Amino acid sequence: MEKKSTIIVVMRTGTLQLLMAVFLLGSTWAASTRAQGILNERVTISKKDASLQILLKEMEQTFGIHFIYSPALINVDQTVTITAGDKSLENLLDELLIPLHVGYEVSGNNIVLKRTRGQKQLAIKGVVLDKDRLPLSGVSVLLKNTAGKGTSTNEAGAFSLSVPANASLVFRYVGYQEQTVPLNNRSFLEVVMIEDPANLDEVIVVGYGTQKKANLTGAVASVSGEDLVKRPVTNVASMLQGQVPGLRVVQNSGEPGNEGLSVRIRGQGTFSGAGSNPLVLIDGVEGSLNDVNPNDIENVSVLKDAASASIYGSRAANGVILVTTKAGQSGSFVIDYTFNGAVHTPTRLFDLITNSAEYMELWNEARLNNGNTAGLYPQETIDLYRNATDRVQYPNADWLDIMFNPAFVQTHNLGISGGTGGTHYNLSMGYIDQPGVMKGFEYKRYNARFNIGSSINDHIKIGANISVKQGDVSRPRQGAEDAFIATISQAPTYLPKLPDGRYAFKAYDFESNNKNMLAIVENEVLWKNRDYSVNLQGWLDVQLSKKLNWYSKAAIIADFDKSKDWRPVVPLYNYQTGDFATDLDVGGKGLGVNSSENRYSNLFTYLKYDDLFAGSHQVSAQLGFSQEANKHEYLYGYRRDFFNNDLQELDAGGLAVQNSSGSAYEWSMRSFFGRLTYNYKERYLLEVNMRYDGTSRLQSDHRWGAFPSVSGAWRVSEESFVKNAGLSWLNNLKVRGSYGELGNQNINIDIRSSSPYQYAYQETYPYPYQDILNYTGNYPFDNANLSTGVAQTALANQLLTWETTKIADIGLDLAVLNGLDLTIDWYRKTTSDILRPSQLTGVVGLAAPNINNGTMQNEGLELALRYSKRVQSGALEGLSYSFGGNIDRFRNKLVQFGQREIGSNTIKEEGRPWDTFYMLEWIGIFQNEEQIQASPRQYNDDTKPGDLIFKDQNGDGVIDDDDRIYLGGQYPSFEYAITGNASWKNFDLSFMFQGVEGRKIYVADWGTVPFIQGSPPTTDWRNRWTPENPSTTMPRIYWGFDAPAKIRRTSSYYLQDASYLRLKNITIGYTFPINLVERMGLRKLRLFFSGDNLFTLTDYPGLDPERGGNGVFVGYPQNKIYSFGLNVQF
Amino acid sequence: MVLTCNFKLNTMKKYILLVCTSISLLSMGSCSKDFLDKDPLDRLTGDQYWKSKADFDMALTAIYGQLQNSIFSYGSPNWDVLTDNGYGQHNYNGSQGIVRGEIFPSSGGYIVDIYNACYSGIARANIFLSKLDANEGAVLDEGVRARYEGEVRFIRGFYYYMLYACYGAVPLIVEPLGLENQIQAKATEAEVLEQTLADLDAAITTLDPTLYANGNGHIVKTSAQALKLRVLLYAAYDENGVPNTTVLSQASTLAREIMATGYALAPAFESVFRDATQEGNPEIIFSIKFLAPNNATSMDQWYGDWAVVSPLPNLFNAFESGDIRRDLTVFDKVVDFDGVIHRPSNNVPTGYGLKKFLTPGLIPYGYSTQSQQDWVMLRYAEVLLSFAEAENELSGPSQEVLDALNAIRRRANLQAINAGLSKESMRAAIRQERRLELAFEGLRYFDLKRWRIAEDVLNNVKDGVLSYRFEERFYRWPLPQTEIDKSQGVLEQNPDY
Repeated sequence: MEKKSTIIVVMRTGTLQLLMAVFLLGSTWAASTRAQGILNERVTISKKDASLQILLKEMEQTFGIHFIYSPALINVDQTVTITAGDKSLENLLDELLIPLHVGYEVSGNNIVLKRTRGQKQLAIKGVVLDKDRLPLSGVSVLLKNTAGKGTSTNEAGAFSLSVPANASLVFRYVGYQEQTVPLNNRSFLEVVMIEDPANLDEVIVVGYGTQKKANLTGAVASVSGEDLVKRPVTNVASMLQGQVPGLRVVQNSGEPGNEGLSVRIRGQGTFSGAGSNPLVLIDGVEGSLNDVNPNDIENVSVLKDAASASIYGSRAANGVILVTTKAGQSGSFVIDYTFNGAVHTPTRLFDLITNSAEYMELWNEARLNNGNTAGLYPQETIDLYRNATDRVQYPNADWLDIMFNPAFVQTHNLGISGGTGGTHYNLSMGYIDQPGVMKGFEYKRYNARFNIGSSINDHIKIGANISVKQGDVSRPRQGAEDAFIATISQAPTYLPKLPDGRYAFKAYDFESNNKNMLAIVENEVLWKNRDYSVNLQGWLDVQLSKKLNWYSKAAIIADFDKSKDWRPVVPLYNYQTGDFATDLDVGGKGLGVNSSENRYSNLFTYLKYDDLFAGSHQVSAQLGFSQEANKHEYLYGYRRDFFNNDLQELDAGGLAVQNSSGSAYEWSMRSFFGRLTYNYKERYLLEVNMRYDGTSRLQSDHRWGAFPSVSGAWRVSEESFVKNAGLSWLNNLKVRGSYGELGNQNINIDIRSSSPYQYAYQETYPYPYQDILNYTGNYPFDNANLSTGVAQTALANQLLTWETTKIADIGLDLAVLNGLDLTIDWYRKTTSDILRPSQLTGVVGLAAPNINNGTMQNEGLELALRYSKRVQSGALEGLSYSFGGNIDRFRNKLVQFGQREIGSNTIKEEGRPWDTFYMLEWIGIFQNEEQIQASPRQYNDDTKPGDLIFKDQNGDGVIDDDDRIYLGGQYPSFEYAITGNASWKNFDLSFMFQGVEGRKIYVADWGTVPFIQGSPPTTDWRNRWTPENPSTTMPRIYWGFDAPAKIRRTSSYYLQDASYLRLKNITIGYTFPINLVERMGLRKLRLFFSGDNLFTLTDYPGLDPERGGNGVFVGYPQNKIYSFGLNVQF
Repeated sequence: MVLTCNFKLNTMKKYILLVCTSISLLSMGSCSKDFLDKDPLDRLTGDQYWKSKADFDMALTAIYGQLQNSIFSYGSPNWDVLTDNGYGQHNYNGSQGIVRGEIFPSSGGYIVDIYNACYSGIARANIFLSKLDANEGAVLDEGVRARYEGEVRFIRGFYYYMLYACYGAVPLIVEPLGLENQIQAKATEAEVLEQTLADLDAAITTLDPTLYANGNGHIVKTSAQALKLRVLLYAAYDENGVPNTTVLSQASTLAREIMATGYALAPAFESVFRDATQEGNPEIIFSIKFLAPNNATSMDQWYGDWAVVSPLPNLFNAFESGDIRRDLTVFDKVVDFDGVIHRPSNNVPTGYGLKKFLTPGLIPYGYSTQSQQDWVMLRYAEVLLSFAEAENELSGPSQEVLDALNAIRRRANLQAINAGLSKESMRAAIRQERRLELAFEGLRYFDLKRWRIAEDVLNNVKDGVLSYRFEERFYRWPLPQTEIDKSQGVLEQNPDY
């Protein structure tokens, strides 16, 4: 550590500060801090047997101070000794005076010496840390009940003070809870400060700027990057799960790099083709959560209501997620390295019948129940498997076990940050290697980011944020659901490979199966995608005057994506005979290579004016301009016939059959935006936002839209009548209200070709109103040449215009009892003029045009609660903990839609939630023929005992489509999360439970009816209905896709309760003591364990209840993660 | 806005200059007038089209191309799984519900698919015909105009025939529709038939009287005549299956005209269906063409590997011994072309598979198989059988009837039927021959309907994988419920639904 060696250096500092200190003398801690300035000044000194009087004189000269004392009380003639060393004035005085029972008080540059009577003064030292156990500098350390006595911590978080032995110290720091620590005769204190959840001075990132939390008028929630990275998952969107009430994240699967995350702010706001995805801005520019390294995130703000989002106008109808990345801190140079190694296993997999003999018997029973008398296993084959000792020739193959294995996932992050002079920077690199729990899946991601900011002079700052991401995804070419389906669609009667290593097809010709996934994976029949995302941002901040600021940012995001789809020829053989059976299903041999690039540019600039009138009218005005342009291009090439399976590039393919396609599209937007805020004494707050957007997606006459909002807040707790009422328990009470309009134009036209051999990847184009002719219907008149066909395939609607979302929000922020913090919001969000295809009659014979029609409403309530506390005394002294929870619910309603539309298991109908479940109600299982005779006829079914019973809802004596009813569960009743944090000494613990209540999922096909493509039954089929086992829960067993319709009808039998409560994450960490760590030359060393999805409470059968929508039962499983990690700072 | 300036005025000026320069640079760089005007980069828009003969040629191509829709072409064998001929394990076009008699307005599958596919084809034809009528068509000379109109009206007539045969009365659309006039009421069944015949007659009048083999793949006069013959036979029978002699006389006359043009049965039955022998085949009157690799179908994969259609044992057993068509139509467990074998990778539910349309040279069948055999929509054997049927109904089992029928039987390696059969026995023989000769060509379902024997036949299928149920009302399918809903009360549902 560098030593401050001379007095002269110190003397130069702050004549002004000292003057001000005198001026402010008496006003408690500001003054004492100023006085502390003197006390902190240092000198290198050594004296032996010197006279106190001479020493005091020397000190007066050295420090520019003046001692005031009464010689009658203080004996200045005595000799004293000062040990050698670099000392602060305070150290010096303490060393000098305490043994003499002399106390002192600083008053400006006067130091008054007093005789202390009997009260023993103690030199107390200590260190103040934040919850990560990093030193906190500038913390005020004050002697309780003694005005003016105190100090503050230095850069190493250390302080020293001489105080009476039985005193208590008060620690204060902006943004942290105040702590009072009794000394209890200790001479060293280690104090951990806890952030104040109700910290009203916290600065929140909002659209085109920041706002003090206390002055927010809209519904904005903020999450720190630190809270996000607790979870050992790799995607930022997953990390947001459960963090913010009203922000619902559903992770469809644990598939590496393709988690299928759905992010919704305040419900599904629209059924528009424009979608319900929120706008994601990375440092103010549109981006993707997939591209951000979670470790680079400083914080995330979620703009939920119209008031906070409307400055983004037409892009913000589904809410906005603002991600701010870390900038360097001036004055420190820190190297930070984090490693995390995790073991992933599936949370849950089906229990399948994998005993071949049992499988074969059930197969025969199911086929006979179907009425299939062909394709049965002969009894001798069953016996062969039952009695075999050679389990290679007669295996009990467990294909799930073959394809699923624990995966070791590692992440590394290295960050370097610092700042000198007016320049600060943050450089980081991240690497993730995430193999899947299922063979054939892998994701690797490389991130690099460089953020730099520099002050050119007092008025101008410039900076740049540069980030690059590379993502490598590899997965079986038809995706995860198909891979899982194929894995379970195999009989246990054969293994993936013959004993000689050739790949197996089936054991017997009559068996039914899907493709051999091991052969797929081992022959690299994979879709491999590499994408680069480069994000370049440059900004300029000019303080034109004290009150006027000009900020501009230009950004280019370039995404490059290249994928290869390799489909070699792989022969498969009969497992028992070894004869050639068929080629592996690779979906048509050949190699397809797709390359695309997207260039997005955004430029925005704004002026911001702040002024204070008459001392209490704070006004600010902001006016800006933004424009965006996007161009997407792609190129696709294909060749069919390849010389061998090793050369996997296009040129290695034959020229006879090849294909190419390529195209491009563009869109652009231009916008003007503004904001006016008014703040009267932080009591009455008013804000008006406005955005005026023009888009290339709409025809020029309908192109521009205006999106205004207004919001206001009343901070009741700032009113003098409240302040004077002596409600010391009331820290903050704010009532908020907002109303505004947002737009949506993000719609495309579908120009999918009807030709089955169109290789184009791009199917939608951002020209939703245009009358486009499509290349479709090529035809070979002479059977030798293919003529090109062109046709109009859709009606066009030139009148297309904006979709509008109106949100009303009423909120309450309450902080009480120095630790209890509550936020409640009620909202109503109504989207109208929804952009959607018209309900065109079939006789028009063309695809429907996009129109503006339809209204959807979401009404909801959100609540977040947090309580923080620190134990001040007792055995658990120093324990700090916090508990929190959030809960949100909303009700979706389709207000205006048009004619109802019935899907396979849902209905879209006015007055009901979008996609309400609509199906037969299952009420039991027929036990005997008499019961069937006495019951209504079910369709034209040949109903037998053991079949499902459906309810005759309309009482007409027949079960048919008219007996379908509306069922709830498409949207959860509510979602909630419970979090807790605790730290004590060097240990820290945090956990999060996350739950979904009242959600149902309709499941179908594999895993429901057994033997679909030969898939083994789940073990619950051991309890199936038979005359001997009159089950009331499991029906008679039928076989596969040939199973009669009566067992496969859409009914509530397949509507599963997907409510769950799970321990989403628990993290336990240990931070090594700072003195130990410093001896090792480090700033920080922390070890931690983090577990994800460790346990789940649910009634959902078989697989994980956390998934996307309805449909095929199987999907790539969620991961249970055990991870260990290490964080070092140098 | 008043700026509170607390640094030097010239500094202030500098900054203002900076702001202004930046903003004006922005404006020049990007505020050009067309920044927000973006048009498709790879596609034409409507106002740029219909200007040249090439435009009309490509539009005509797209109208032919629409016939490639599997529901009209290589997926047609799936119609036979609605009959006693077969079973469709994959439930393509909702076939299983139709077989079980679960036909509701809300049913999907064929009930919706045929409606939409036909009107989609009709719309494309209507747009073409209206552009042809308009001045824009002046780029075409009169002969070309007439021929194009004939070809397109043939195709529109085909769609109206399908609608007529499936639903009976439907809306009659002969002009392009838009959002404003999209709701249309039904015409009567007679009007739909009338429009169908009018379209085909227009085609017959304007198209070349040449053989299809000489028409370079385009529709010729005889194609229109053969389709009209099929339509007349469908229209000839009343609610009780009693034929209308006037209509049958027209059919008979039309058949004679076709028989006089030079078509012949191909010597080898299978040559009609195999890619290598289709081009120039004397039996084909109209086919929907395909060309691998870029315009290929999944036909061999569907029928040879997936067993999308499974013939029922009763069909297999209906072939007389020695009938070469049995083993050319149906395969037993494995596909076997003279020892070249393919074992279907899928379950073969009845043990039988459909071989008739398979290509021997493409074994092994799978995802990589790209089929290009044309779908034969109209062929001379049907004309002969239709002629025999009409003549037998009109004037009994004459020598002409025997000749027509025996021509078919002779090629199948069967003994000729001798004179002396009663009209009823001959009727049964013709119907049996038609079932076997045209099996899986998509005609059986419509034959059962027009003869009004669907209830008798289908409700007595004993070897079906599904239980069959055919009710009187199913002779006319319901219109899709979604169309009833969207029409706001204008479109009326068929009776009994």
